[in-house]
Amino acid sequence: MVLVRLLEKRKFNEITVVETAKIEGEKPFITVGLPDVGLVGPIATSHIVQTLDMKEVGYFESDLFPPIIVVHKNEPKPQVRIFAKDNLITIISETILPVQAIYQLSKAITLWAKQHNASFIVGVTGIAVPNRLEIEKPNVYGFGSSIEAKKELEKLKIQPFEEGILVGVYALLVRNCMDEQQPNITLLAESHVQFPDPGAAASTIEVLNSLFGVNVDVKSLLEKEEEIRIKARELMRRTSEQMKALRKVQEQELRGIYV
Amino acid sequence: MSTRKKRSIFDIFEEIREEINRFFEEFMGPIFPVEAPMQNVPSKELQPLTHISETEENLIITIDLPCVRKEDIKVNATENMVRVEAPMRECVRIDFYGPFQRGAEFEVFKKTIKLPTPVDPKRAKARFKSGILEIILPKKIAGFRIPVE
Repeated sequence: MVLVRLLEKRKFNEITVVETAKIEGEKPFITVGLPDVGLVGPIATSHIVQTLDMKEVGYFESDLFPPIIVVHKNEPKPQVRIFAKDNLITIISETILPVQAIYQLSKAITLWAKQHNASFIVGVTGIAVPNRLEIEKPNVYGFGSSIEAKKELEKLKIQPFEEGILVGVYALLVRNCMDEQQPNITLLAESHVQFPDPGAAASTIEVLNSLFGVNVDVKSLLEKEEEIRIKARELMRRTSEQMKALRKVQEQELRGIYV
Repeated sequence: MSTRKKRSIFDIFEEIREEINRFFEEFMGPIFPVEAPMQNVPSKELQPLTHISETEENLIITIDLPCVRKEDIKVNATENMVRVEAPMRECVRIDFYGPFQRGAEFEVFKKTIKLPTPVDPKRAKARFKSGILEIILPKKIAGFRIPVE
């Protein structure tokens, strides 16, 4: 499918992970940037990939994915790709995936991460705040699915996400990680709900810098904030449609039962 | 004697065309929404992302307008719709993407928003911050007060 050498295929139910280069890192961190609130995940992770010059090492493929191929620099690419450098792996989707696909994809990411002995899967997304316009620098909150993840968050003094509901692909990722005992950290930056939010992505990168021990500069991201907002309008529109179908609004609702 | 002007065949066709359009918009629109890209290359227009929320008293419309200056934004409102036109402070060029292999330039955001409930446009307020336009439109509330016994 891609103009690269195929090293290994791993099948997880209806999803196949194709590795096109050797993944070197030991106990890697796997960060996931899929379209969701404010496109925080895709904006943050693609900036990390570009800044660290991460190498494309594989992709996810499935008949559940829409019939799409992305052409980049005259080369066909699958829509869900894997990048790696040292101990960091990043999974990015450039397009919106159908709901039935995200169930399988989150499971496949978890199982594939376990095979690579990943120390953490880090979900990067936004939490919609109604007063985002008044917030100069968005806060980033986190929660962990395991004792190791909680300790890591405490060590880095990441503000805890104390109460709330998470809906969508990142919720599934947490659920699968809990099932498979794969440590997971979910980071949620205060974000616009329906607009791409590079400011929220920049705040998240600052947290990821300390988590991964890297130094990704956010200045260049903030400088091209307006350009990103123009280019990401259509992906944001499709993401909003999916968030509506998933009843994402539940994240804004007050919980009725506290136990 | 009737003073009614005789309609031409063109007037009749035009009326039929308008009627069909209205039918499709009112009844078929929600079932078959038109899926179109958010830009018009020949007229160099981009459609901005918009979001509508409401409180008991107001409709709140937010519109993402990057690369725009506050003083260039034009907002017009009626009871049922809001129209926004916002030229960008400089031409935005998109290179090599999809149908833009020759490149395309855009210079203005344009959007007409149909409102879900009638508003009082004379009392509307707007502000522009961080490239986001927020328009607050008080809802038009008609009716009688019902005494509570």
